[in-house]
Amino acid sequence: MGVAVGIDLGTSNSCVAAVRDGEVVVFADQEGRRTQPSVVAFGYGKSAVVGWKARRQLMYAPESTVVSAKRLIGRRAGSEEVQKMKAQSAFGITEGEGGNVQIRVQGKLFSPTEISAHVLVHMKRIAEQALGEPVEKAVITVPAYFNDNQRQATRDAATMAGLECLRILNEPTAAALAYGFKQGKRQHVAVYDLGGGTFDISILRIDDDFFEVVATAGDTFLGGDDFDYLAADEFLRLFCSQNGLDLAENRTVRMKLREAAERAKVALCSGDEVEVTVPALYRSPDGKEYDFATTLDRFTYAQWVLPLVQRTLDVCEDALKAANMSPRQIDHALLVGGMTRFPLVRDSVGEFFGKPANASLNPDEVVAVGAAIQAYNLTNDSAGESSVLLDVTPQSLGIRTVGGFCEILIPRNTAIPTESAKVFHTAFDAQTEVRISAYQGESRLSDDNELLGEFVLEGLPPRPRGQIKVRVTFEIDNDGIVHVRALDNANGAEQAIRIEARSGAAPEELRSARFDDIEF
Amino acid sequence: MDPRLRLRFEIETMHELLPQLDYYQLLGVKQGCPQGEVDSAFRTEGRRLHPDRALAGAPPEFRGVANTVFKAVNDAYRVLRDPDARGHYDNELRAGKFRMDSEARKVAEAEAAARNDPNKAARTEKGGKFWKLALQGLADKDYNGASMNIQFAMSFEPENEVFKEYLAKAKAGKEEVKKEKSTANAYKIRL
Repeated sequence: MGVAVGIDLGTSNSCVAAVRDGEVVVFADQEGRRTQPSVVAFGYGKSAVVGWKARRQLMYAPESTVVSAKRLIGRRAGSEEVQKMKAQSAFGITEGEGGNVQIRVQGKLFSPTEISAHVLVHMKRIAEQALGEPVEKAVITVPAYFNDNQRQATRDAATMAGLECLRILNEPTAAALAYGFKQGKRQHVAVYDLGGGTFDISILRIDDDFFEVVATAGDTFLGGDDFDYLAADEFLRLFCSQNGLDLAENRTVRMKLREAAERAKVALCSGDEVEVTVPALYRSPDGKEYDFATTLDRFTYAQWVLPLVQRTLDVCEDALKAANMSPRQIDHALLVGGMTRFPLVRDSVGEFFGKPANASLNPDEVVAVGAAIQAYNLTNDSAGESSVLLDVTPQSLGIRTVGGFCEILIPRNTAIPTESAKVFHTAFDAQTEVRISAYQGESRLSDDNELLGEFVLEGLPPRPRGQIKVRVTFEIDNDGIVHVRALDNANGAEQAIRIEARSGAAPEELRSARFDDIEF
Repeated sequence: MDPRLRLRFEIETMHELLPQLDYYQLLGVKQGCPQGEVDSAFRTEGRRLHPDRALAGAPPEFRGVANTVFKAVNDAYRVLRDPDARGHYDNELRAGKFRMDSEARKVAEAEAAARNDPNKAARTEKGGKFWKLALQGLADKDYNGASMNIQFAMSFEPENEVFKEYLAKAKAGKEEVKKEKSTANAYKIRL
């Protein structure tokens, strides 16, 4: 039997771990690195490259190097977030069939799911190399605030990568599990998770081995990436004014500055000041080369990014309100995600909760460690005594009603698994079809929420209006994924309807995907 | 008997009896029990019955059964954990209804929400329009307009307790303004 691993599939970096002989092991690559950049590079030669090698290519060929695919997964091409990413990315982002996002690199098209599958294959191979055994099953983590489309697309990526997905686990919940807190007394824990691309806050009530998520909130488009783009924009403004250039549209220059911004951010985690230099940043059409050099101090940087930190605290406020708690009632505030290394973030969180934030476990690895523990619990037959995680659905699930309003069937922060049924009536005489649109989000107007899918109940017997009743059950499973089934009262037959996620691949396609050409 | 087999047998029995079990029976508590007992019962039962535990070593066909039972336990706790919803459910239970359907739940939730935030008090769309105007009127101290709008809103939701409460407030406001005006006038005359 293959080993079950836990994989933290991050926006910027990914990490893989498993329980071996009663202990969690984080798998390192042959150079001893314990996390891998979630970067996929295409290009020179016919093979794709993933991880550190791919990251190196980012500096000289950003247009054929895909970064932060997680920010695109399960989203519609027309969404605000995708448009924002399109403006920032050096690689091509286009709209495919049915409004799906497609990534265009060197004339080839990829779905964000495929890119994520490349990263998962890479993580799987790292684990297999370290273990000397095949890896077939995995618990894969996602931001708690991910909606159904994003979860389904992540599940599809696992299938594509040849992994049986045991569970889609929320990142903050995984982190809480890694920290443990098995002290036999009831505690309230807030997990502040600021990663490369997403922000989550989850409030848990932990009673010995029972982990109950009370409330969760987040922003799936707020993370370290945004800090870097913000600093890169400041650098670009400075560079242009120093040299009298206008490079606002130059993606390659922006990408290089983004890299420099990220390095500066890391340096400022420990130092008070950093020299930022990018030699030969820009070559003008007349052949003149321009270098970029500046000094950045922690205070200036903090001024730039303070609004982003404030946004995370507003989300914390929202989660506490949903949990009906005050910051002082939280016993422990845990820091997760690479961005929480930044002193400003750390101090702000500590101040918000009125107690020093806990970062005793490595913020880059803690999610993978929690996922590994859950993978072990779910595959071990004797796990009858293991911890139990009870999570919630992050966003309300509803259907479109007359006038474009959204009728909520399962409110946010409902414990999962759960289900809710609704009886639909025909509105016209001899109506043989009922069309139902499902949405996720908090707006009263369905158009402002995320469309999960539309489905049609057909073949209803033609009768006067109102006589035909169809009972539709909406279920949210342990992965946070939505299932719909309908019971036709006339026929008495139950029909399962899968809400098609927009990852753009049918199940057969997922299984037939091949990744032999990834260089390892 | 193997404790895991015993648990599986128990869950299967619950599954068969599911339509006849009320929320209190699902959590294994008495109807009038203190709130703390509901919480601790959920932690004990939730831990025991959670599919992740119950499914360890179980045959695949047991999966659906365990999930269905746990969804019912979750549902029971969602209602009983909230004193407002619990009170509502007790009424339903007296009428012989074992489950809160989404309509009944909506009324209970709206009442609870309205208690914390008057903006959420309206339950109908039309009533909501007038209610919004009424709250604005109260904020602007236009008590005449506010009480008129509350009465309009009440024509759509005659039973809304929050509306009734605010109508009384608006009327009290009206009296207050009347008094102020009369004293203001008296002052002017004296000038």
